[in-house]
Amino acid sequence: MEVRPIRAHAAVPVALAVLLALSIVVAVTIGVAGLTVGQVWDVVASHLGLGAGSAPSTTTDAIVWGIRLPRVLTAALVGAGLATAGVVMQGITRNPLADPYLLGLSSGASLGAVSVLLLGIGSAVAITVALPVAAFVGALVALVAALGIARLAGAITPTTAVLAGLAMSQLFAAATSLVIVIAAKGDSYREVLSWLLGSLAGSSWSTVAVAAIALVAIYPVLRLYAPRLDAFALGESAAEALGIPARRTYIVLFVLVAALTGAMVSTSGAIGFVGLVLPHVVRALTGGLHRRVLPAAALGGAIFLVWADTLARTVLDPREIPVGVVTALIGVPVFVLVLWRSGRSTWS
Amino acid sequence: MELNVQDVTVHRGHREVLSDVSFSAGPGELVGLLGPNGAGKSTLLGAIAGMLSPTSGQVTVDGLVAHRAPRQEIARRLALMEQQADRNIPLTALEIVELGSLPHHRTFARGDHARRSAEARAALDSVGAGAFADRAWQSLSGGERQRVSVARALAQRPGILLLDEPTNHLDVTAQLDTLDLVSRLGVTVVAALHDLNHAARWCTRVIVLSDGTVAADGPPAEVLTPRTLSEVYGVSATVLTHPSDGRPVIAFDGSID
Repeated sequence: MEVRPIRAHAAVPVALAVLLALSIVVAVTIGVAGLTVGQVWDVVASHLGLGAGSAPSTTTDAIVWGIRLPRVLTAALVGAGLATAGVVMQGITRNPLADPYLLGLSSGASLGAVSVLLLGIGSAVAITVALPVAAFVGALVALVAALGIARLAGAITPTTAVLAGLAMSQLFAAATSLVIVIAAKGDSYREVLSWLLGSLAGSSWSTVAVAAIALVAIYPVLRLYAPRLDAFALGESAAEALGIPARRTYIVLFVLVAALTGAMVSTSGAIGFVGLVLPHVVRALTGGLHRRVLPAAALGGAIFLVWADTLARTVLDPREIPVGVVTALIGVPVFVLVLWRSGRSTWS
Repeated sequence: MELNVQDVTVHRGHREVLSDVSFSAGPGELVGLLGPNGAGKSTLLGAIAGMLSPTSGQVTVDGLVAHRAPRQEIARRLALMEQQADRNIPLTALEIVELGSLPHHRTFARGDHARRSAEARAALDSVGAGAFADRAWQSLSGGERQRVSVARALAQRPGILLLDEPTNHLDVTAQLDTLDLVSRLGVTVVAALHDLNHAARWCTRVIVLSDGTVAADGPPAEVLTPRTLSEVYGVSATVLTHPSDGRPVIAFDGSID
């Protein structure tokens, strides 16, 4: 498929932003207790001190402000973060199969989180604090290990980093399985499984804060790298010939992506396919320039995860499906479709 | 813009791939780097571009030491055109050419977008590629891609242009077009070439590398002799004189065992 960038480039992010805002509002109204957009607005207005409408009931307030809004916002932020990380990873590695977890980040985070859940490492501290911290630290340990091994293998290039990340990924996955086999009993299996597959059920205003801080701090920096990511599409030595110190740029971008991904994973586990599929879908819409792909992917990822999570919490009501299952069920066919349409021409 | 290669020796592991290579070149010169595979042509281009550090000696570009100067400073003076025809790039011709001005305005501030776009269109026009500015790279032929690559190098506004096998995988017309285009730029050009007749036709000077050393250096008519060809390439060849402009024309007779 030929990449046919549509003419009105500015319209894409604007349209996606409007769609995201609508998605958030509508998603909050959906659930066991059906609400109207008006009721949702009343709650939000009362908390923001805009006291325009009638005062909401305490039940409505608890559902909207206490449960659904933080969950939907976390979904939006995590979706944006993972899609952004996916775009950058695919850009640096020039590999369409790259995703945010490529450097073993998700396995590292899983080991941290599962250790807290099962070994009671966090028993002294509230688990709501210990778990995200352990997951974030696990992701960074995986990154440092992967880059360290890549460095030992010669130099940190996309190829060595990805191979080292693959090795780390296997190691941390084995360690996680070991912890589960040794320590899991009874109900803890369900908790561990839902975390490993990715779930937004544990969302709160503190997960909103973590995801928002990471996104607001890291996205703008990655956006500044957009032209350099474009240059990497020409190949490493062509990028160097355009004045980009390739090795140094790889390390900066790997660390930024790891911090962004680690923060997202710490709030909701390793939700798959958002970072893999969204960049492809968005590129078909915007063309390949990163200054257009990045904002569209962030907004698209947010919309996608808001709706995936809405499905996850309602479709088998009253039971919940881990959102990672939903993203895979939607993501895989979409991915196959994108691959089929692009054939071998867009990437090889 | 002055290019100085001074006693450059490069090792890959323990193997010496370039030993004591020296030459200098100035504006208007089109220097052809010749020699069999493995003679060190690509390594020498890499060293000139500052991408690999010599074990001893140095390359200076406009007075800057190539492997020590900030990459961006080198990129403002020297462009490298590699073999890219096989690469899949998810961008349009214009978007690729716009990347050429990256060394001059690194972060692409919003304000200079219109100017970059105009520069890129001008570069595409000057290589006769204005018509496919908005086409995807994937849809271009090998010759069209090479024109886009030349335009990208032009957008970089270099004083020195390095070419690595610029005619590989191109049909004859595209080969001639590409070299014609390059020879009219008026900048210092150093091109690694396989085709000796192309070198004889377009280069003002050829440097023949053999096992990492300079085996011959001079105008094509002086360097491209049956003796040099048999020593360096191990082939027996008859060198004829072109009736119209007197340049050497090489006819190969066979390899020497």
